[in-house]
Amino acid sequence: MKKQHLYALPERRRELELRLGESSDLIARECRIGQDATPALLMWIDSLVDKRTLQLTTLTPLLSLQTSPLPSTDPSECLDELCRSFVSAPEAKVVDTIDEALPMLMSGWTLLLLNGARGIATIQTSGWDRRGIEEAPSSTVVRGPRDGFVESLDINISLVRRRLRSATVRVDKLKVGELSHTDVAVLYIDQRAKPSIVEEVKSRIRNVKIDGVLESQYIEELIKDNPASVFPTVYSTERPDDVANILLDGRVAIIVDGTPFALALPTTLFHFLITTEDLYLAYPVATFIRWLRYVGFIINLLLPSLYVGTLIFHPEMVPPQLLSSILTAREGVPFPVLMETLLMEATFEVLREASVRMPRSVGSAISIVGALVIGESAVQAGIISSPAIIVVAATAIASFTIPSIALSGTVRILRFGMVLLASMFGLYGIMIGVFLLGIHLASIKSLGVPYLTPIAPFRKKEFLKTIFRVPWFMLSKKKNSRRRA
Amino acid sequence: MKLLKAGICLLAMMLISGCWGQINFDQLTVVSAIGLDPAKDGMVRVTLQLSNPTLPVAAGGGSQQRRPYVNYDAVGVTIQEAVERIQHQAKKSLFFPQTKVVLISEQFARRGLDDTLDYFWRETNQNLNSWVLVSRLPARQVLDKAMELEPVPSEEWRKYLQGDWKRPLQVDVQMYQFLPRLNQIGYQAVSPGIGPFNASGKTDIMEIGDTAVFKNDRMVGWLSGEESQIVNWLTGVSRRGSFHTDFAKEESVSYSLNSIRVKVTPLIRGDRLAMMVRIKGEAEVLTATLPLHFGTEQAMLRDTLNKQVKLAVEDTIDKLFVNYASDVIGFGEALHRSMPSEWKKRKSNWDKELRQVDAEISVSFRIRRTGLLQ
Repeated sequence: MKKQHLYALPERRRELELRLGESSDLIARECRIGQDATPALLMWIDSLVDKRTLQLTTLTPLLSLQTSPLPSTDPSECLDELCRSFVSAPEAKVVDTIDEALPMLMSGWTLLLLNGARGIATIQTSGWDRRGIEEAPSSTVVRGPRDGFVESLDINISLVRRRLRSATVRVDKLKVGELSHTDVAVLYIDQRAKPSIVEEVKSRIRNVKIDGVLESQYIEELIKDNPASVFPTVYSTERPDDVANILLDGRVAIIVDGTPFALALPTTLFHFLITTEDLYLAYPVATFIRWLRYVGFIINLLLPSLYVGTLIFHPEMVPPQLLSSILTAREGVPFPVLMETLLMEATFEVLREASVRMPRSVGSAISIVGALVIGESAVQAGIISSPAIIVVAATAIASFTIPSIALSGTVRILRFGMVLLASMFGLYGIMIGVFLLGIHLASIKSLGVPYLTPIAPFRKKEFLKTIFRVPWFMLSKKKNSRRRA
Repeated sequence: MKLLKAGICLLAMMLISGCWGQINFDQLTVVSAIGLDPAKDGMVRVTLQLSNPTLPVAAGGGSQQRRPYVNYDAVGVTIQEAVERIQHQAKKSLFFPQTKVVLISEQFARRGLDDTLDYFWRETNQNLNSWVLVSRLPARQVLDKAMELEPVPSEEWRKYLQGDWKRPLQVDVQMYQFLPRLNQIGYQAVSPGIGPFNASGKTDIMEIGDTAVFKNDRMVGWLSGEESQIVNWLTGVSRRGSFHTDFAKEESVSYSLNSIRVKVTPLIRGDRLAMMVRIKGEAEVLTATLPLHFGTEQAMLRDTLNKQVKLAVEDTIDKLFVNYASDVIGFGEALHRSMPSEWKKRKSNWDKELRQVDAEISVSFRIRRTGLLQ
């Protein structure tokens, strides 16, 4: 009888099975390789491995050794050699301990154990179903590339790399999440992004202590500068061209495995109001649209509060004809102006939330109920006056001009605060609100960059680029290679 | 923590402020016109026209059966007192900042306005942009009888007076211009007049025309439309006009006058004050009742026009300075600007000075166009 090997296969197999709690999707396949019929063991997690890849890259080469001698008589060396020269998978390496091998097993690699060998060979065989590249539903464009990120990190990085075929594009991968072991990639362009910023981003990600990362919001919340602020200081996007543009700007992008939403840092308020699509349109049109967006932002924030504040405190400011119309329309309405506005605003927010969660097929029902039943009949029944509906509708439409969902949500909340302030102090209250907002905005930063750049601190060139979409021909060659952030 | 403290401070602020500037918006009733009439014992009768908003016709308000406005009146020592009385009748909150017109009855204006109109100087919630009109009938009567195309008559009047196209035969004045001129010796107040077109029926269309001339805070008389036009030229309000020249045998030629430039220069001739008025402009023939040959008669037409305009201006200045002794064309201010020391000397006795002013008038119109007929 042969002497018991130090690393006998059955024991190791048992150990691995116990570590996984005898999970039923752990597959083990025994085989004998080489002339001596040395026992070998392949283990993988069923659902994470592409069986075709496994067969082509690992099983076939190993089993074809049946008639020839093994490359070495020492099992450990033999395993090294097998891994180096026989396994045809693009990635394969030998690790020393089960602890090292386990995370790889869990990300879809196949383990190859050889009787008597100290190490464990790990072979990249992972493969699972991926969603195809589709248009990003959260930000559709009229003109511009239509591909959007998917849930797979590799594909997402490839989408960005495909746009910037330069050796200076850096991708640094980190692992986050004690249970999820999520891959997080930090992308930047060497020489363009400030090294200090890149380092800061990486160190913040490394300091993240969390069980699992299911979406980039987890990371965003943990690395943002002012966690208490309602304003987003991290930009998120679903579009690769957006990320490419961010990298060109000298900013840093973070792509998280498992979600199509990439993050960008540092981000100022105006980054949320400027879209990459502006660069795809003719510059006069893009400038016009950008202004519309700025106006939409202000309307969204202030229109209901101006309506309430002006009517309750300063009706003399309303033009006579308009005042007469509003007075007539409000006749018999049982609610005061403030209640009415808050009620309609709340109704709209509820409708919006409901329509997001609705299955597509019921969507039209919601719009009928929302538009006809609530809008039309509330006015006809004299419960709500039509000016209030017009104000709320105008605000709602203006809110859709803000390209970023994050900023739009912030403004939605602030709007209610503004309405309350206006109801207490009129235009004076609105001014107080705007001042408080201004103070807050001026005090927060994103990775050391003040949130109101380029207005405060004022930077002329960037300011012009923010207000206008400056045409490329007006930027000289030197300026064309943009400034570092 | 900091946020909590800030929040508590903000909440405390709400408790501190005792006076909420809030207005009960749904009780609001717009005062669209104010009428001022004299009452006995030096009191004032105030009429307020409250408009009852109706839906615009476009929004289906055309068929609404409700009174578009209601008039309330009350007597008081001051306007304030009367308004407070009206408040009791009207119940709704009176909203003055959008008053369109202030009607002052002729009788009241002739009694002197200074004490009463003090209200408009001090009251903060009112419209200094409202238009001032002097009514030939008592203001209450005008407001009651007026019937215009617009449901609320004062709205129609405001639109007419505000019209961006200044009617040359019509002066107009807003409260903020009218008030200071009541005390300004060198540039006194005028106001357009309003009266029934034909005082027959229960309701009437009101005619806005003529000009009430004030001397200090007291109205002294009327100017006709043609005279108002000249006042407008001399004060630089209007640069256009129309004029009819009369020829013998009831024939006349009508002109429209454009690009009128007037220069009023005060001069000292020895001890006497003189006023040089130079009028330049362009004329266009609109109507001629007699056959004309412009080739040969242009010079004659021009000279007739210049002569008759000059006469009209002379008459108007005479009427103002001698009959009314009121400086509504701002001659005193012109003197003040060009010769401040002379003005200081003569200011105290300006009425007398005005009567003795020699007006030297030169008129030169060019006839530019003769209409479509050549």
